[in-house]
Amino acid sequence: MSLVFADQTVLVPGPSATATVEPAPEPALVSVVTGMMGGTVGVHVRPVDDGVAAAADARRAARSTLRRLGAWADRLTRFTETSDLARLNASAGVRAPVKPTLAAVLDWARQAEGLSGGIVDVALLDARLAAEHPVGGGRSTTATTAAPRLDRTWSMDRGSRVTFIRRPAGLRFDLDGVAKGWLADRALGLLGSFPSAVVDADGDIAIRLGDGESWRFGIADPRSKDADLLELDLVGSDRDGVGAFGLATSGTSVHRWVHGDHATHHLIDPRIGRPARTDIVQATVLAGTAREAEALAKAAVILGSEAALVALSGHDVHGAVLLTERNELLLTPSTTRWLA
Amino acid sequence: MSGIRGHRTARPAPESHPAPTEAAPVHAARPAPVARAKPDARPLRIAYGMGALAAATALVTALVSPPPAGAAAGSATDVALTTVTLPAEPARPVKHVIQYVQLEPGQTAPPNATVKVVPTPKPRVVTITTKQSGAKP
Repeated sequence: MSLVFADQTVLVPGPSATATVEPAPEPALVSVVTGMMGGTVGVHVRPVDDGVAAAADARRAARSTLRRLGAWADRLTRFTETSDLARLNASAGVRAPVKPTLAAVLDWARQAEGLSGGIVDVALLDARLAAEHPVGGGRSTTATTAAPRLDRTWSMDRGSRVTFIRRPAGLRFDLDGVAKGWLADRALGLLGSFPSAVVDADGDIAIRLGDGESWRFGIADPRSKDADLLELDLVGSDRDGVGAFGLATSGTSVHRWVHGDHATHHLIDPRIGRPARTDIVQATVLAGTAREAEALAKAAVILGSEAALVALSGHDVHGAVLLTERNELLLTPSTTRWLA
Repeated sequence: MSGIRGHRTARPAPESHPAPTEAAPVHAARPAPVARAKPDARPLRIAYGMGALAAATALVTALVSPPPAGAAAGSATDVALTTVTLPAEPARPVKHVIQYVQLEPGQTAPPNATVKVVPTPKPRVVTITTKQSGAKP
């Protein structure tokens, strides 16, 4: 099967393709799914017992978690003018205060930058917008943006009450690649009283499974709607000390634009300030947390298959699945343990 | 009150004991007794001292000197040692009973072993799919 991208302007994911919930053996899982963050977000909880009261308790907790997750996401989006991130990006000064949620995500962004060897960079919004709407090129009707800036040095001053961001004037942030995994992990933390729970933040998934509990997860095939590349059976095991997982996927086939005679995508390589030249169409990483998986998956795509496999071997990940433009499916050795 | 704090009048000295007058000694006519000679105590003191010194020496020697070899072994007297050769115990096969061995990845079971496959938990029929995100937060 070959990949055809050249004649498409934008590939839009199918609606509600993230969660397919079927009846489960006792005790029944409680799943609450809603549209959020431009996609689908779901919370799946196993009640503490088979009783009606336990199921109702799980449902209340799932709904409450979704509300909290939505409130956090509203502070982090760059698609509204009232979010904390939008206010930060709009502020003119070199030193701007940020609220705790945004400060926590930016703090994680700084860690993700280190985790990925500098590949995950949240200060590349201008470069991304330039890729999406190049100056005088393509069929875009949106106003053009400035060229990517070179000085992207920023820092955080953590005070006792307020955190300040210090950055070059005009430097803007894009939390793509760090926020959804962080949100999924943060939301899963609210469900600690349940034996097993999963938070799916539009494809970036935080998972906690009790001992002996096994859930099946699919990896979407970007070449075929409603098809999976692989399925993984994740198992919680007290003996192995494994119970928490993060599963995330990044790629170049969804946010992709064709300008004139060439296609481009949204994953900016900070080393060149432009969309990465990569042979990876999609990368999925199974790690200990969703935020780590998200950062490493994004870094893998930007690095390309050869460098990605080397980089992933240096991290304590549970598995990785890379789909290349040559239709190769590359798996790290630890992945085979989980194949369904 | 004033009687307590005031001057106290000195009492006169009692007059029931008149001052002695010169008189002849009462026992002046009796002869002085002859003092008896006491035995010399020094030889006995020397004997007591020597005895005490001997006792102290014996006590110190008992406390400081190491115990005899026999005392350490629990016997106060010498025991004649005899080597006794026990008859060789008949060889008996040692039976190791190992009921279960959990094989690690890469290990194989012995030829005659019964291999029981650990039942893997049946996955829940819930498929949650990871995919490239839609719009970003």
